[in-house]
Amino acid sequence: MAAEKSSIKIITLIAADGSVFEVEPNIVKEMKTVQSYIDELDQNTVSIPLPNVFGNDLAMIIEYCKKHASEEETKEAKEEFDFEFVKRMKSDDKLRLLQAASYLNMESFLQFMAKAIAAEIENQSVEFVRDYFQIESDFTPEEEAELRKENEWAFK
Amino acid sequence: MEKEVGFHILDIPIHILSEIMFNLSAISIVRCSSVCTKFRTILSDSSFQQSYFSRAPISFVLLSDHHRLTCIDSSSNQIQSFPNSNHGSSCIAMQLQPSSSTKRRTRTIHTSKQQSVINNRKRKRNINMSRFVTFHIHRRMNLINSSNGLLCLRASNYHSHSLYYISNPLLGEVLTIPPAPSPADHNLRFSAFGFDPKKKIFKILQLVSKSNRMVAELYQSDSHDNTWTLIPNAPSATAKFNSSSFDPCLNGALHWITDHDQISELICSFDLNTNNFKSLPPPPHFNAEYLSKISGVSIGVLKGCLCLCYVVDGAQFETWVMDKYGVKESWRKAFSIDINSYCGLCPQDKHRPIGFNSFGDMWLRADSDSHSYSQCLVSFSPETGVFRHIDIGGISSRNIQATPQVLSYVSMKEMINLANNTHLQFQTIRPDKNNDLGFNLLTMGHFR
Repeated sequence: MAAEKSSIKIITLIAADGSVFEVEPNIVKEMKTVQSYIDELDQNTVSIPLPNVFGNDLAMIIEYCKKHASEEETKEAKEEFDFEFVKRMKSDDKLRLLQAASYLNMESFLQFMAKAIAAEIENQSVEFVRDYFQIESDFTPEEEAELRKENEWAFK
Repeated sequence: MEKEVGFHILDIPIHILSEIMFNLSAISIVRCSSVCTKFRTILSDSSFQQSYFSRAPISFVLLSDHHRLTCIDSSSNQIQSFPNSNHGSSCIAMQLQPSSSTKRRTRTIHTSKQQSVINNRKRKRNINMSRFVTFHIHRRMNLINSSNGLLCLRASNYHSHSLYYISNPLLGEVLTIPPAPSPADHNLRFSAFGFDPKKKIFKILQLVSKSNRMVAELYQSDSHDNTWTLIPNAPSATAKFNSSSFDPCLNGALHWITDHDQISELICSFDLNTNNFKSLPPPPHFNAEYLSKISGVSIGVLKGCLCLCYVVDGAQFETWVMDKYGVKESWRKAFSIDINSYCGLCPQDKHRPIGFNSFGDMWLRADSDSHSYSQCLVSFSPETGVFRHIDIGGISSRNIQATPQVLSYVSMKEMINLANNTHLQFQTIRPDKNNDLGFNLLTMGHFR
């Protein structure tokens, strides 16, 4: 059983838009959803459809996993990679990647994205956070008025 | 195009939303709780509060001239604070090898103007924001200490009764405690505050020297008659004058240093649960001869462990930590600094830190080099051996007091059980733009 599993060389991931990614088994270890799928199969090449993740996002996630799975990279190089990785993302990308991380059950990537999103809303006004997440206030007008009165500074 | 995935943030499971919020500073949490009812529900959940608090970073509270209280949020976001590896400093920097190494130091001193870009980023990490509460009190104010998100202050005139306040400085909440029996004069040797978040009660202990005996006076928030009581069996050893504790509260106990000849009595503690006094073992190398060589012993908390700071032979500053609370053999040296390397920074209390932050960086007070007669703060990283000036948002003050504190976004009314105690005077200092008294919120944008 174990021998058969270790013989798996390449895993094929198929994103929602049909784009195909071929990755090494150690890359998908982080993706618990995919890993549990692999664990149930004995074939040499596995093909896994991921209907909730788009190709662009999957490409980024795989890039992140490759960098972090690499034993040759130094801690500093990984930190630098993380920094640049977040820098080139738009707000929407971050939210989508968070969602994908949640779907793929990737613990450390999820925490990484949560941190990146937190950095965007840190030190921002209530209105900014609402706009950022596209949340409409569901407080009653009275509650909203009271909040604004009590925490006037929070809305600036 | 991005919207095609068609999900909304509120569709994301609560535990993932919580994961985002765990990374926010306390002040941003206050803001987020006004965003929508779902956010509010997550943030007011007691299990979220507990886990948020358990991983919240240590910030610092500053008391500057004119009774102005400022919270400095020293939380760090790893992503923002890149590059981590390159600690720069605009002043004199010193590097020493990690404390684990037996050959302790190689010293290189360099000034690093070229690193100013990095410095700006580092400053951002140090201060996310700051806010003021200005007390409307015409007395001398002292920062006592903080415990589990609450801060204790003392106002006093010489020879008058000391008046203690408990505050959540982030929310501007202040609770006034009835006057203590003894005045805050030179006989008052030690006072400290401890809050138990499980029982929701707090206690304030003050040790007063009376005819060569120590008298222990205690206030506890669950007392029925709202008065201070005397605690018998206070240790006879006199508590060292001039605040030997910079961060006294740990493990449900308060700690201080005595000037007793018995070395076993050097470190005293007061159990906040049982109201009992107990002494703790000092490091094994402490003996009468060694004690005569050291000065300025102070006690505090470093990364969740009790720690001792002192100066040996007037030349070397050392910090020791007790890895396992109460276990004599678990004392180990955390780091040491050659006192001469302080030059150029002129720290006020070379041997008495303000406290340690979550990364184990030591904060100290120093004379400001840009404004004469005013003080500033300096941090020292034992890991890199680098001193750094702390940007305190342009506060110019002749006298700065500061204490480490984990900021809490939860109202004191929820944190403390005041059911039995309706006499306490509770007030919230609200922002008032037309009046300088009251607090201002300063963001980083305003600092620059």
